[in-house]
Amino acid sequence: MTILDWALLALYFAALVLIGLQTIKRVENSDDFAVAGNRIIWPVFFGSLAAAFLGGGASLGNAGATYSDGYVYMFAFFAFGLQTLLVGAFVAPRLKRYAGAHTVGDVMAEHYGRLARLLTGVLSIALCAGILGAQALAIGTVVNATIDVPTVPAIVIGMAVVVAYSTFGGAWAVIQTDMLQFVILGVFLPLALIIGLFRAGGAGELVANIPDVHTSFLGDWTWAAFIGVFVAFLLGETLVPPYAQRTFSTPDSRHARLGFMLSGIFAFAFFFVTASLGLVALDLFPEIESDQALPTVVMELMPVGLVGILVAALLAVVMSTASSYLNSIAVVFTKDIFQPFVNPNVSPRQRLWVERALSVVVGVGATLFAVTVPSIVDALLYSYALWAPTVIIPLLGAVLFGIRSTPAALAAIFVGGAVTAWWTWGIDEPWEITGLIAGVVCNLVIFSIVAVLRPGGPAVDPVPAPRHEEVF
Amino acid sequence: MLAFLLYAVPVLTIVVTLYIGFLGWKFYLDEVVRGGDPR
Repeated sequence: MTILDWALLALYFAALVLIGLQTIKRVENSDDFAVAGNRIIWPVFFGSLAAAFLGGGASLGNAGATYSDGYVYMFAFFAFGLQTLLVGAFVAPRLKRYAGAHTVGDVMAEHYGRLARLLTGVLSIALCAGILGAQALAIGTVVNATIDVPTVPAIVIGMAVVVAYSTFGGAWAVIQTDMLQFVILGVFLPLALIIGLFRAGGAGELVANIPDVHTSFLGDWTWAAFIGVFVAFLLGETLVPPYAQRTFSTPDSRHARLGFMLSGIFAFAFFFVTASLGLVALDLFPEIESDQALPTVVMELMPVGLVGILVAALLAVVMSTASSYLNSIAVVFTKDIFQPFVNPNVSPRQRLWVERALSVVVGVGATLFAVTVPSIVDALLYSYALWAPTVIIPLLGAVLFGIRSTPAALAAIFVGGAVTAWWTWGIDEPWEITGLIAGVVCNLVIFSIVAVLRPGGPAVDPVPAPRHEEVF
Repeated sequence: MLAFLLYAVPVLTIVVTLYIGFLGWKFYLDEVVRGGDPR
């Protein structure tokens, strides 16, 4: 790294802090902190959603897996883009019917009652905490792999900036910094691919040098393995709390649909770019560890000045995801647990300060765990596997079909979670069927049967009092 | 075909990102720097 590279990296951090400071004045109440006052128009929704879901897995992970297995991993990853397109077309616009909603728990409470809200809140927080901790670790990995700064100070500095702007500017700061990070990662990672192609002697030369198995559809994988990973990407992150919260921040269903669908289309292109960077690494550096594929391309092939920006781009990928999940934890805890179950009379002003205090506490906690006991982050990441088999089917049943059967939702959540845990850790996923698939199937079956047998239910929850608006 | 995509996809991604970034910058000026519409 030259002085110019360091200066550009410092400029990136300064811009994040500046945006955080400028957005403070836009946060006057909890609506501003959680959903940016519902003022986020489609281009900003598109960019910030893309920045939130394009994390370490879509960049470092995708490049590394393509380096070792070929494009087959990218084709499996395309399931995520497909899911985003489908949710954008059919689900996201309908979420805007829930006026005043901030969280997935708000929707679940409206249809299935307080216990469903509580379960959704607990699952949301566990999921977000695991991913936040993983992103904190990824900050250390990126910095250590590129500019050789020790992991601990890298995590502390990176997370301090994330916590600072998330705490003061809430969703406004998270979304606006996401936009900056979206531009950096959306410009400079594709530019790195173009430069890498020239360094490899051109695209034709690269394709000729890469083993055919790396560019074939299935590579060395079996169909069962491919379908398992494809379904995991298709369902695993469907409407996780930050994506739902971001959807609630749009002004109406048109902006929600357009932004969500366009970010899905963008995901296909981004996955292709990062996967192809993995192939460039394979062609030029065939002896490295696969997880070093992207950092090696950046550090070895990029010209002076661009290295600093590309390190910033890699940090942007993980920091934007970290801030989104940090903000979601604060909002979900306050809206789904603190307000309904601890202090129902909390004022809007107090709620804002609870959310801010939680951002600091959770951010510091995630940093400490990432630095001292990363095994706790690993443990929390297990909750990632529980999201789709518990919440998604009841949520889709509520949003798409208006189902209000409380027993169906609660039974599906418990059975889906239990089957996933037992299938994954009890019997070690027999017949190459993942715990996620087994859990989702059981969740769907139980939900359908109970919803038919007990179709209605006393789904009453006064917090918040959603006002339904007909938007279609 | 793959060789073509290897150039076309990153170029298209950069163009789309810059356009969205421009719209986002206008939004930032209106809503954050100038404080948005009176609510």
